[in-house]
Amino acid sequence: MRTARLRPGGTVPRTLLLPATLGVGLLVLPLLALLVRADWATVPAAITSPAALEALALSLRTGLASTALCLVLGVPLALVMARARPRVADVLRAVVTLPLVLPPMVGGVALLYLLGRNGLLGRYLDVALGVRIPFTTAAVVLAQSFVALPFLVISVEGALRTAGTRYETVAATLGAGRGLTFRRITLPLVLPGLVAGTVLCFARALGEFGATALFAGNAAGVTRTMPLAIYTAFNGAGVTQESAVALSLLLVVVAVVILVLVRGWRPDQPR
Amino acid sequence: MTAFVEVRALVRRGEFTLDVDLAVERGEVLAVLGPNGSGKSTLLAVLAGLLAPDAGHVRVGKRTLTSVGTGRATPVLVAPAERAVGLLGQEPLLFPHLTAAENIAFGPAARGAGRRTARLLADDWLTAVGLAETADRRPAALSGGQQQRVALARALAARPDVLLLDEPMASLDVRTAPEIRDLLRAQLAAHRTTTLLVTHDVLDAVVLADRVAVLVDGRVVDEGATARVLAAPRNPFTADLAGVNLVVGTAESGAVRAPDGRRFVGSPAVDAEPDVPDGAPLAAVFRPAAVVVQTSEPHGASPRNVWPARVLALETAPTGVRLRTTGDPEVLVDLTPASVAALLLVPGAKVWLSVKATEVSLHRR
Repeated sequence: MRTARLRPGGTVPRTLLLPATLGVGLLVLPLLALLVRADWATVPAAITSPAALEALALSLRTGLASTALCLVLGVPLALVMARARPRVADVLRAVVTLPLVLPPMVGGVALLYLLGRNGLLGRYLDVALGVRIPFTTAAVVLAQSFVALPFLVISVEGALRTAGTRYETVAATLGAGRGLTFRRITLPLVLPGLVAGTVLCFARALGEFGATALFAGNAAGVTRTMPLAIYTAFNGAGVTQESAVALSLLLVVVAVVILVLVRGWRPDQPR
Repeated sequence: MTAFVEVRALVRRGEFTLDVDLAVERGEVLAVLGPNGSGKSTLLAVLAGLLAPDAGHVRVGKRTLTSVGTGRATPVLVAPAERAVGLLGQEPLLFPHLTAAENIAFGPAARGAGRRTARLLADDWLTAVGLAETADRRPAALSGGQQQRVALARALAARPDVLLLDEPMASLDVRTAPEIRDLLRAQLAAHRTTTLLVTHDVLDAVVLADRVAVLVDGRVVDEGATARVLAAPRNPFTADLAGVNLVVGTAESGAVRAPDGRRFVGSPAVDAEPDVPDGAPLAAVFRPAAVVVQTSEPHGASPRNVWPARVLALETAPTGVRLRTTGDPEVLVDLTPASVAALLLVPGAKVWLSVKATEVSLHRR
């Protein structure tokens, strides 16, 4: 007879195990259903169809562009937040968190009222420079940046707070100015947080739908990213529902690959 | 003639007030001794430019680094990076993502040295602190003592006009602390680095400092040559600090010859210390409780330090009774009240004192 292996230190009340299991189910079962529902014979063709490849390419291009934009704007913002006086930091944090809790649709409407042809800024851009942003690829990048920026800022700011200012003080007493200290000390110290934030930011940009749909529209090759292509396919316009399932699978694979890459990447640790 | 470093600082923080006026000559080591909360760290923050005093100034050489509320029209607060004031604290705080050599090269590189020059300098410094073989290791792969050695090399490699030491031995274990203390002594002497050391450990002052200022509740209560301040304490805190017997003399065949001719045999605080040349300054340190009192001359076989003395005074101490006995310097002896009664000790009584060589630690100065 085998005895159960004894594991000391169990601290989770048994009554909580059921809801925890249901929680896992809620997250995993839909994805399983997707896998079961897929018609595997047609998946390769659906994924490699010109419409699908076009959407994937556009998603990657705009995702990378918005991630780059978020890095350029977000890292300095995170540094200012992390080093600001508490009251200023609180205000900035509230501002940064807002897009996170706002429905993306609302973000799309708001972007339209700012940059649309009759928008607060858009009308001057149109008249003075002849620039129209809505329903262009640039609008996709802006919509993605709007929803993805908080992910980057919050994770970099957390890393900066954890790192503290002690090493920066040491660098200063060794004669290093602020710029040099930022490049050689501060940034490398928060690199793990920066990488994690960048990946989250990119993943969020790839999945962005609501703001893009309202602010950029759904023009094939111009603004139809993967999520919009899935939506279009699912509604039966142009492609079949099979394509929607196949494209969804492709996004799941991309997401899993991203997560694996992040977990595998750990600085200063022997592999 | 003004001193190389002058600091005058008034800092008010609620109930606490730091009010000091100190000077350090070029190449001198000044120890600021004080208990926790006496304002030592605040003083260092003012010097390093991390804190603006409510009033005061910091001058190094001809440069004014801080000037606030001293009648000048515009306050001056030079940024820490522009001060050439180095800082070595309790914790090494080596940059974790850089190797030992890269940590040391950081200062020279920040001051404009080329990559190769900075790296060569770093290698020289690693050799100087005895860690040449660890150049390419990250701090996580170094022991606490090794990290502090690298931190010292990094601080000195930046060639500061003034080096601030903030209890640099406090977080080291009892075996490593004497090694680092001795390394500091050797390096500060070799480079004649103008240094301000804050500490609550009297040994740091004994080994490293030319002069001592005693800081209590934000004010300097005593200041002067190290041996004088510790041998003749002018206030209770210094007396507590000097709760050890400290005999500062000259080396003679590895022992200490006191100013009054007594000879103290002991063991070096740092293992594998090369022989101290005769005539070099050497200090013997031992606890008052380690001293044995007898009323007749002892005839023991063990190698002991034995000398005759007279009792100067009896004082109550937390541990029992403390005797002050004659000599230059005076020696303190801690006894139980029962022993005092049994030996019929009164002021003026003639006694024989002895202390085992193993109880006496010797420190180079």
